[in-house]
Amino acid sequence: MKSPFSLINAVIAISTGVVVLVGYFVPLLASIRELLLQWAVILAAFALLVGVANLLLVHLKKMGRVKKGGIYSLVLWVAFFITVGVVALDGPDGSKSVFLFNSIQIPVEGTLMALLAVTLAIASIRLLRRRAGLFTYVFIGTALLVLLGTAPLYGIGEIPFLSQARAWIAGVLSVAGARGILLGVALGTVATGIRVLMGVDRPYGG
Amino acid sequence: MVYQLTSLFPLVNFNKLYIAYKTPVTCHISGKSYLPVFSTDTMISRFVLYFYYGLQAAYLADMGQKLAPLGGRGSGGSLFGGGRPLESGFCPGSLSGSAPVFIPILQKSFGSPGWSPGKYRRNPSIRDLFTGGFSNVNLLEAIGSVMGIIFILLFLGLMVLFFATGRGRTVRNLREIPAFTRLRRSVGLAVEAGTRVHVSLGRGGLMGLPAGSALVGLTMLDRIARAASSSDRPPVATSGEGVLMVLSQDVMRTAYRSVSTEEQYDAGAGRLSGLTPFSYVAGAIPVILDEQVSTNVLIGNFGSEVGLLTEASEQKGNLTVAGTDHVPAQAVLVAAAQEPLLGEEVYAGGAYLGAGAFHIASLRAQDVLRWVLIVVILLGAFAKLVGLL
Repeated sequence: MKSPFSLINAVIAISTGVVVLVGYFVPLLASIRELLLQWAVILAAFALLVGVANLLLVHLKKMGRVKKGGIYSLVLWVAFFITVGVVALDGPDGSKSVFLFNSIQIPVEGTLMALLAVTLAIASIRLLRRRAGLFTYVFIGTALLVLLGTAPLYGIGEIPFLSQARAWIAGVLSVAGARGILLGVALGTVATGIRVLMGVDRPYGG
Repeated sequence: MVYQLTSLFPLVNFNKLYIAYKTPVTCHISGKSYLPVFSTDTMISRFVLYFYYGLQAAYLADMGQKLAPLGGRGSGGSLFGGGRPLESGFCPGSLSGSAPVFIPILQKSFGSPGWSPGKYRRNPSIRDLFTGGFSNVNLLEAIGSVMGIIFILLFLGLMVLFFATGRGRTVRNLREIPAFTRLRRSVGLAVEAGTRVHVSLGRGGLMGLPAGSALVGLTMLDRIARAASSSDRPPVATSGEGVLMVLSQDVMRTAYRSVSTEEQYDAGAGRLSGLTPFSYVAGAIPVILDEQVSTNVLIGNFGSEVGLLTEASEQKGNLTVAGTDHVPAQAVLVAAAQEPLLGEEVYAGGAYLGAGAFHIASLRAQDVLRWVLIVVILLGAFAKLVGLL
């Protein structure tokens, strides 16, 4: 059963979308487009607050049910309120706020980044087992070549041939491939946008 | 009587892409109302002026020839750099012959920055052009806008055409994409086994290019929520952006309502897991590991950090169907995901999961336009090769 507001939602969403789209092409509507986009930015900021509230509530439930990993939810709550308190008192550019960011956020994310490098190496090996074939070998061979061409080898230094091969792969092959992929992405994005504008896709409770 | 005249000249000496014009100036000529007159040097720019800016009179070379004595395009120099005195001109509406009244009009029109009565200044700087009261139109942008309108209208027309002609067809003739075949099977198995499907929508908001993949993710969430609505453990959606989180909740609520299982809806099933790339991943990994998930669908805007999500999924032995609009992350997914979706395959999710005939029509329109673009690119490359561009 459709919500009684679904038609109103659809009318507002479609008409707004059409005005914004046409505003990109017709200078007369540019000011209206700008205004609507500003409203969207404000709404997105409020959605962010709703999202943070949702995050806290989900973790509160986890703590309440004494689920596995509930202690981490407690850590999240404590860290959240400490951070909000410090930034509120010290300002976003204050030394204590910057200290929190530089000493906790960046090292933690850096650690995950390092973990990602190991994870991808394992994934490449797993790929050989899962989809062994010509393209898999080409993929892994290219990855190794680019890796060796990028990072100087210990005790040997940079190998000119590998560096040149890496530059050619990065500058010619990968750009050509990426543009082909991006062409498909662009067409898909336009198709998705048109479907939303026509009300076929209604990600707003239609 | 006040007449409006807008003058526009190609500034061939400065930049072919820019045309400078002065917004309407007053002109006192004998009792008739004339349309603004514009001159331009190419058919494309004339087309742009005529249809895009709605200018009612735009002329080609004949106008340029008339402007030649004034130092216009016909003289091979810019309006300001022609170096010849302003001895004659035309008046709007009297193109058949030049009219001496043009001089005072021109004095008013171009009194600044490049021209002042009695002192014919040569070669004004480009900065003057931008700051001295002239409005500048980037012709390339304008042409792009017109082409954009044409492209979107063509896309829309093709989609409607294919929708109208393909509605009654029972056979869809879609090439098989193994990822979607496995996903459909896996969702069915998850319902039977009482496990969850986890849909991760990425970090792309709705304000830029990543919106496309995010919207596809929401469409797939809708289809999966409908298919799994009778499950003991309904799907869970994670996202890294507030708007996406709100929309994921709304999509699930609508899906359950449409199949009359609204009691299944739980606001906690649509979650914001983090706001930075790695905090988002760090928040989504426990969902994969701890919430009895058997299938992970990762559709949206991700960076290479998506590799950590696929690794968590591997650890649990789950199926991972993943696609993104971010090219480096696609490379990661090729290696790390069981069923990666590449390029436009990401956007085919709705059509392959039974979202309706319009999704299939949009796929067919994409196929046609892809070939059109390929032909245009090849023609452009050829034209460049032989020196036409």
